[in-house]
Amino acid sequence: MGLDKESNECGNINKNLEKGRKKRISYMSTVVGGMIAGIVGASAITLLIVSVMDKRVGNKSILPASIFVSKYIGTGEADEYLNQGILLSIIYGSLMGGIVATILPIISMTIVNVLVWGVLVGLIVGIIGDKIGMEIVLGMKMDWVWEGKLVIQSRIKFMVVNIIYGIIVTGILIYEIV
Amino acid sequence: MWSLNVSIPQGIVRAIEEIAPVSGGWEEIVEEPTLVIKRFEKEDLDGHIESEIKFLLENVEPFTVEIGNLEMFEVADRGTSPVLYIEVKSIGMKLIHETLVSVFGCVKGVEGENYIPHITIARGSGVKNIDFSDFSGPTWWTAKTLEFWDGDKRKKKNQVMLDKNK
Repeated sequence: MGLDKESNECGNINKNLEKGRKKRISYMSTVVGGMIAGIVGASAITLLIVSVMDKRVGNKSILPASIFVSKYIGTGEADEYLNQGILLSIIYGSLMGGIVATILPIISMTIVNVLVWGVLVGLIVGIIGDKIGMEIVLGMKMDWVWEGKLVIQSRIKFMVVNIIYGIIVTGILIYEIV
Repeated sequence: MWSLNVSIPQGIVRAIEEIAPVSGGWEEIVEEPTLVIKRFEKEDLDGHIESEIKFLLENVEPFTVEIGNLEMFEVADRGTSPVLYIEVKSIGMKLIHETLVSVFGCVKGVEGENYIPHITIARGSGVKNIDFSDFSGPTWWTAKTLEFWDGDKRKKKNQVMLDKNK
């Protein structure tokens, strides 16, 4: 191989490896992006639970995270820890968002992908939340009734808010908003 | 142990097979010759290292690989010694190796400054004065495909097509 050709090849490969390095850094940053998406998703569903879904039932919202604070940290009843519950829900949502970002494959930016992956992610997060968070950690069992139940009492409401969370997080990640 | 390898063209594999039996008295003749760019000791359970490597190589175009002389490692860092190998010259392999080492770290003894691109053909003691002029394969090729190679199962796991990057 001639010297010119060799040095040309060397320059091209170096330049292209540098591009790859930058792409890799942006891939790594999706973990942080996922956490930010998780904060947005968790904030949205917390607002939905507190201001709409639970308000229609009894005007008193109890978040799973409030029950956690009451059971393991505080001394009062769960409804006294709404603000702490909101904060803990957002932290949990952010961590789940970071995990989702590392697992989510690289897929094209389409609404169909957001909906399909969003529902799938929401269902997985919901099932983990139900079976581990609610049943094991908090010792609570939900039922399938929609009417007259708080989100922490109704599995179907719980799954719906998790699916909304999944769609928001995957939407932000797939469209590379963060 | 797994690795990122350059896929060796069949013409060269056949030419290696032709010279290997006449290499005389070696304990182990390599059945499937490989050309390693980078070794990985840590298992890649969820495929993340593979994904990261694909990102790194996303823009790298096919590069030239040249067959050099028949050489010998008197003392191998791993496995049976000595090692009879065909020396390989490739700027592309060296640059990719250096980049991957800087990102994923280096396997002690055989990488970084100690990295010598080569195709092992036999191990253990055997005839040392071998006439390499019988080698009938091409003396260079353009590497268009890299492969993720499972060293334990001795099989290809996945591949990276560089000619898509042109």
